[in-house]
Amino acid sequence: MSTPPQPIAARRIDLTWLAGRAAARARTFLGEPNRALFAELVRAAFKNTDHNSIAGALWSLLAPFAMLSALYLVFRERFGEELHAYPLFLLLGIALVSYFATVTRLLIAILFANRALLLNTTVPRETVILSQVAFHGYKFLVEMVLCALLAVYYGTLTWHGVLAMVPLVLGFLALVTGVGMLGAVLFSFARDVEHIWTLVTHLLMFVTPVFYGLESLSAPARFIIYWLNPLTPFLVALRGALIGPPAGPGVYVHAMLIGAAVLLVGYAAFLTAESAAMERT
Amino acid sequence: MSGAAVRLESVAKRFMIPHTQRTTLRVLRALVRREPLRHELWALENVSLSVAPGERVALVGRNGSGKTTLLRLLSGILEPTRGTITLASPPRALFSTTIGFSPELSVADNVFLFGAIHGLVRRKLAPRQDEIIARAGITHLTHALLKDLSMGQVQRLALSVFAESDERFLVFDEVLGNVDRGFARTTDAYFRALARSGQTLVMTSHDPAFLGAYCERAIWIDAGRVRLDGPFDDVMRAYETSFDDDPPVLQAKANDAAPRKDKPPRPSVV
Repeated sequence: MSTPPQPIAARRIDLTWLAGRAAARARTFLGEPNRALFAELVRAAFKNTDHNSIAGALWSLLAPFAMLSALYLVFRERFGEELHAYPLFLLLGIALVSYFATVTRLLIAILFANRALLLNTTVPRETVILSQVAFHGYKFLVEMVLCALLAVYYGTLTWHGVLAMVPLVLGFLALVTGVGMLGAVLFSFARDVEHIWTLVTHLLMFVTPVFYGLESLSAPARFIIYWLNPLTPFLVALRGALIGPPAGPGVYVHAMLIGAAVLLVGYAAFLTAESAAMERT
Repeated sequence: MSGAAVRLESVAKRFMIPHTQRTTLRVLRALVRREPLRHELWALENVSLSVAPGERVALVGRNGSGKTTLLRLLSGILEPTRGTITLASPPRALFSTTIGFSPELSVADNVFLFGAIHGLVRRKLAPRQDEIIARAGITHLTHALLKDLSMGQVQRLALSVFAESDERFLVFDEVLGNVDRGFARTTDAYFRALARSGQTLVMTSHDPAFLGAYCERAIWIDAGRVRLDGPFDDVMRAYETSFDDDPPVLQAKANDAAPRKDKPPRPSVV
């Protein structure tokens, strides 16, 4: 194994170097020791957070349902009359925004929070990041299953819809991971990035069509919410898949492109600056 | 690489130390004004050395001399700013006996977590779990939470798990500190077995007797450079002699604290 000199300035634009580094990391990540480590980290997170019990996991699912109840009571008359299966409509929005906000906030400070581990062991940094995405991802998946059950109740669930959900969920996880990696790098350069991001994620509940439909907005507001908020295409496509009518292919392509592009940009930034970021945290 | 387990050629490591607590506004202001946000700290400079397979090498040096940075470079945790590091195979490293555990999990769970963090998979550890915990002398605490163990017990557990590693190249950084005499004998047997096994060892400690028991060669790192590299006894003699020139700081402090003759003594509060 050889580590040639790596001038930082050259790395920023060296796509070959980035691709080689990403390929090497992928080989490490897929190796047995790292897969085992990934499983242990997720298991440890589950046992630590949910006290290794079903009741613990149920408690963590309580927050979205409390939010669902509150939003349903407040907005049922204003928006719920026009929207079919309004509780399902709400739950999809809440699950998407909550997962995005929780995981990106956590990932932004992950290098700092795990500094001792990452500087004193050979644990790959990506493994720590992805273990957190996966641990919180299982709750998101449980929420998606509950959404599918609600869709069964409303009679809107189709096999096409379920199949369409799979790439959408994967694309959404890619978006979350990419934003988190980008945030982790930025956080190492400026500590208040975490506070700024917390503010942004609080606003997301309102600037994402969680409790209102895009149709209820003015044309300029609709344009901004759809094109400048990366969560909106995912939410529109997921609602189309579970509630109907299905969103057009343009929405799916838009969502998948956002997920892929943000992951690529976030991981490229992470690979380029991770060493400097680690040493600065 | 002509058979070396590890070879470093002109390796240098620079850390960028921030001037102040960084915030977005400060970073933007500094960018606009083209002010430096950080300064350089060269932890290692022009380090060249090689370790043969099966060799047992002690890294010695004062606090902050660059030993841990060098070990982190060898382990791939950090990357060199300049120079090349060539490894026959990546080492398995133990930098701390407390990092890699989860205090809220049981001892039994922590065997697998700490093991996984150090490259040991559950499939391999599971059949040996009881023996690992017994070797640490804490069988009666198997189901206790790790946070209820003493620091020494955690350290014993860490070393007991790590001893399952059969990697050809091992790195240890100051890992023995809080173990009692009984477990020190166990670790002594472990390190002696390592020394006989032909595994390559690079280790640091501030205890010359500990290093001398297992290492045949020493490298003295001083202010980020290799000051001396050679047979263990020769290097340690030179290293120990270097302390003779140190100013007796604590003695001077003690003298300062003593009441001066030209000033009246301060009244005692107690």
